[in-house]
Amino acid sequence: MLSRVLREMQAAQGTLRLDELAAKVNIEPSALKGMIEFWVGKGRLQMGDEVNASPCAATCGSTCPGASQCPFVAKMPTMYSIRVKD
Amino acid sequence: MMGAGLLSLQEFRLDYGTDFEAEISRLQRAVANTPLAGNASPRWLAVKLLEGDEKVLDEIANQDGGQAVVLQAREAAARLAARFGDDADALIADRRYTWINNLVRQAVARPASPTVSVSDRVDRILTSRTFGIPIFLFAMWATLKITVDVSAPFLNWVDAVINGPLTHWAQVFFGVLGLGGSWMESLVVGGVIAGVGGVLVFLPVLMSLYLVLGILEDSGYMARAAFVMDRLMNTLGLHGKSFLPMLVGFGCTVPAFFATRILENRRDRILTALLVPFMSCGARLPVYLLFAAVFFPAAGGSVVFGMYLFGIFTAVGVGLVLKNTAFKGKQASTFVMELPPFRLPSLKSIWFHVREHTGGFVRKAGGIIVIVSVLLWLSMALPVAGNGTFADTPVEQSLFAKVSSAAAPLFQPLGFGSWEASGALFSGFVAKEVVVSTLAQVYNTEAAAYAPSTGSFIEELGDIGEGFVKATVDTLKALPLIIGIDLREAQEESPQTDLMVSIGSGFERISQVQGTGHGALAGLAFMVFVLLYTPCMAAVAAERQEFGSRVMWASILGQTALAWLMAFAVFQGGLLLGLG
Repeated sequence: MLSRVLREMQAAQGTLRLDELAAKVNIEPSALKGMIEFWVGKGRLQMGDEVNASPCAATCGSTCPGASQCPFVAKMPTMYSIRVKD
Repeated sequence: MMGAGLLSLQEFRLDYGTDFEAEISRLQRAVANTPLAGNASPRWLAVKLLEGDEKVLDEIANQDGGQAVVLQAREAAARLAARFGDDADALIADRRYTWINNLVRQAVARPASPTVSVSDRVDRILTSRTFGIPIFLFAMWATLKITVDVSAPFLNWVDAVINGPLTHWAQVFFGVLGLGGSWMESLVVGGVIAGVGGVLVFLPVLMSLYLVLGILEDSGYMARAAFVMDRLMNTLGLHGKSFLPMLVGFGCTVPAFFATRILENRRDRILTALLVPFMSCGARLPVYLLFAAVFFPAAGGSVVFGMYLFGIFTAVGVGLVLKNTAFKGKQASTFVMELPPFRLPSLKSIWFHVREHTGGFVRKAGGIIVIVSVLLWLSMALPVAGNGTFADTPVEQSLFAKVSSAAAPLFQPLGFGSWEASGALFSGFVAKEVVVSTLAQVYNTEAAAYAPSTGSFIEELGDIGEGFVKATVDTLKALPLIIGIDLREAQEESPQTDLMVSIGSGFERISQVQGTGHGALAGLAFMVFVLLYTPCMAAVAAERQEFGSRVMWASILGQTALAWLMAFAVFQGGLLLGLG
């Protein structure tokens, strides 16, 4: 079950919606999310929420006092990808 | 429905399979000899040990004889991993999920064909391979069209307030202090108010832009847009995730550079960082709006949209070239996106969105742009030719004009080889809005267009209020423009501000001097140059911090060269085609 999630992700060509992957492995999206989070915890998947929390630095157009207050960081969907080593 | 009561918690025991059960039994016996066994189920402890649960491992290790049990557990986990080709904890979790899934299948009755909600249907259309991209492009076009058309009356109102009463009050203030006509008055009126005011007039435009973007983001559409564009990038052979930093780049290039951290390897990060600056950041919008209003007043929204689109196409084109040359290699970019559910945007969160974004813009105008305006004023006040004195010299004889003139010939083939344009582009390196504030200062100083008094303080306050009411009425009349219905009288169509008129005549003048006679074409080439040339100072610093000096210089030089080539192609190509 769990390993199938990884296999389906590896086999997919391109981006998948969470509900698309859930349909592929024939489970509820909420259950799939739990499985994905397990793999994130194991370090096999990477949660791509860095965009939401991207550091803004003091130089962000000279306007931002800090990362959390950067007005220009768009709120992005949560993404999970297979971790690739550099 | 769940089969409640079929088994009790006491009786339940998940079977992990023969190999696992054998190891669990051995560990169970070992754990039973430790004091911890009195507080927790030995089987549970054995499973946790196999899973490598740090807390349980620590607890056991601290018991008498616990170290041996921990060692035994690690050896058991290693045997299972070797036998099944995966970590023991992953295998245990897999068994649990499989068991749960089988139980759910037995206990939950599902309809033969799953019901598809309206939200799911909408989602399928918005993210479909066929309609996703056209819908995204339409959303972008509509956003910019609404922004430009609907906010125009307030833009003119803010401009009238800054160049009218505000300027007049400043003059009166200096007059009262006995400093009327002094260099200090010139600094404040011709430097700070003209420079900062030239940027601040775009505040209503940015507010309406962020209002529409806030609605799109809060409704959940922006996440779909990211998904659709991501898929496009993947199709083109670029890393799918590249579009996410690019989307951030529509706001500001600085966080977009940091957002490239979402990509797994450094090579992809560098490639994306080289493409991010082609996205039109919020700071470039005032330049587009100003020039679109000057040269393409009837199609401002579409021209601005065209600039955004041109930036995306350029990024994709450059990306494809780099991907097949310097960055050749396979991309591994499969990932799963969790799209938020659609929802009705809340007024509170939209207001927050608008307030945060425009607040950033105002802070910038009150910080870096004030400083640059003062420095520019100084360089325009210092005479380097003629008989002028400090703060009393024709601007074309100033230090600013002299330095800018040296670079002007570079821009001659692009149609805007004037010192005003080249000076604005150079100061735009500090921040892109400064292009506008520089032009505002240059033309303000050239024309010495200080506002004449229009009446008493109370009368001017009344004029401001009256102008606001008129702008509100005009905005309401402009709203149906979104669906193509124009309720405005012909004379109500956004009148040009003094700055717009000055820029229009300035570009026409230089095109006459160059013998091309195509001011509009030169204006378009100028917009293309602003879109593509080097990112601002803050972005360059962020790029250096993230990727090092080599990437930073590649970006600065490569982009400026590309900007020159593309602006050249636009201007000369337009001339060849007889456009402009």
